[in-house]
Amino acid sequence: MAQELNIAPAGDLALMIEFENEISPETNARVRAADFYLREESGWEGLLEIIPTYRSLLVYFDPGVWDYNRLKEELMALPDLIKKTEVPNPSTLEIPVVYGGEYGPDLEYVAEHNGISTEEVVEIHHSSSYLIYMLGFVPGFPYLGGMSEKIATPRLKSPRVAIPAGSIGIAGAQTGIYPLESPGGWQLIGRTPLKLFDPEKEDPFLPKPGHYLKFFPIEEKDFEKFRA
Amino acid sequence: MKILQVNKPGPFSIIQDSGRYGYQRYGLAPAGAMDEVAYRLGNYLLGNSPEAASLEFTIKGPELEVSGPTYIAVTGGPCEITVNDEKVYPPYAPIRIETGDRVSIGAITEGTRGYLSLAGGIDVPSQLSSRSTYLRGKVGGIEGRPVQAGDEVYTAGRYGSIGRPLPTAKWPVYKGPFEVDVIMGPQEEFFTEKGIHTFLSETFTISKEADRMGYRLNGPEIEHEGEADIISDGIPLGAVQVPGHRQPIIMMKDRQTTGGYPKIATTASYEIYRLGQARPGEQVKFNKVTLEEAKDKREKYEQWFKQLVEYIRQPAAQEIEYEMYVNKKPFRVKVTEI
Repeated sequence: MAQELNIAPAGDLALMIEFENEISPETNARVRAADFYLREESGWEGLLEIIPTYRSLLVYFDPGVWDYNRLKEELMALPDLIKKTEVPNPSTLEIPVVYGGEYGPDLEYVAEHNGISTEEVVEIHHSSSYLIYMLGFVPGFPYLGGMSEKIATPRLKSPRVAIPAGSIGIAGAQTGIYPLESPGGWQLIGRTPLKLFDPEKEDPFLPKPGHYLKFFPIEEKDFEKFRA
Repeated sequence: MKILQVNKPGPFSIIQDSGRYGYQRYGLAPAGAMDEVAYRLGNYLLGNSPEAASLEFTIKGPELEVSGPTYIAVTGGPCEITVNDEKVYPPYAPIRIETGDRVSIGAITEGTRGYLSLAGGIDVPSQLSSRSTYLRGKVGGIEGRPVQAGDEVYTAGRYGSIGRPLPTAKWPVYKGPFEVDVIMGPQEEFFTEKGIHTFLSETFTISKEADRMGYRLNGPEIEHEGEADIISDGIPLGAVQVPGHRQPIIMMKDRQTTGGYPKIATTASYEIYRLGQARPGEQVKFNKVTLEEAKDKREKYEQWFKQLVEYIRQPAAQEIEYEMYVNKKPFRVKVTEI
């Protein structure tokens, strides 16, 4: 079992742990289990920061506590260790969305492109549960998996200069949320009043890697109400 | 307590401390001073906590009005500090400031970044346990943006003993070309033998696309084994990634936390401060080291830094005069114990 783990140096103060070379919920669940084990169960000191992604973990370590070879040796037992670890069930983050109109100017295009009605796009989009594979790109940006092919739509040919924070879009077979105002080429189908990243909050990041996210439609008049 | 008012910010000035750690898993870059050595020395010169916030300026410093009596110090790329249009001071020395003094920090002659440290440190609100500005996340510093004219900066006002100035011979050197130690990987296997040979034997030039996020380099093409894409993973500080255009990019303090390009190598930790001073147009050559060699060199680097700090902290006699040089111009610095 241990052979399926690949560990490589990432400079002199970090290393990369890689599970299978694939994007799948099963592999990501192992990443989440390894992350949980190292942070909560192992009791190991000197692991400074762990960045879980689709199928790997980047681990920064304190060179006063670990050297690469010793840490690698301990980590090779991870596949066995995580089998014995009871990882809490992932939670589901509920995201309110106003679909269409000025909040989602590309909703009609997405419907047209897929030969279905806008109501069907909304229905398909909010009935799935999306796995948050990882966060990256900008603070609080979730890489989501699990969108239906029925609403897949190519990116805009020319990206918008400024997309409002909270915009929800589709790019190819992916859906995502822009945590901050930024330029971008995603097809915008709605917007959430929630801030995915708010440095003033005690819990500044809403999405958590390895957990799930689900959208639910709200009416435009309730947009401000959900902001709080 | 209000400590200073910014009259002219300079080309790009930004509040930084040692950075914001623990949030890369949520997509938040650590930010922090690009040249951690100069930044920390500035704080030691003023008896501050080594992690007090300072102003990181680029190419040229700001013009300010300072409320005294207090001390300031400028570190990093050498430059002249002019007080009230008449008195000129060198960097790496505490400068006594009286209320209403106008301070103007000139152009950097070697390297690209300087640090203005204030006795007591800059007191902007700490966000996620750091005062570092991270522009892309609009967090830290003053509203997450660079400093601009009219900004008022405050200090907590508390600090320890003022340190001894560093003589010119002890200043960090930022002269290119930069030979940079790297540890191969984590995705060395994405490159052909020829690609790795090119990477380690050729010289690369820092392009104009060089900022706090990273430096794009120009040079001969680095050949991939197959695809130039990986499944996105974490990007360590100093990672050298090579996208499909086959030119290397060194990832710095404001880097994206994750990315989908293979990383041929990662810069050794003790090289980052020097690289943080590199300018567009300067040349970089990568030198492969083993983890054991990196450990030795990291320990030497820590030893060197410790000696500088010890020098600064040695109590000065009642009054000492130093001679120092900036741009080959001599300066006489008088330090009085208070």
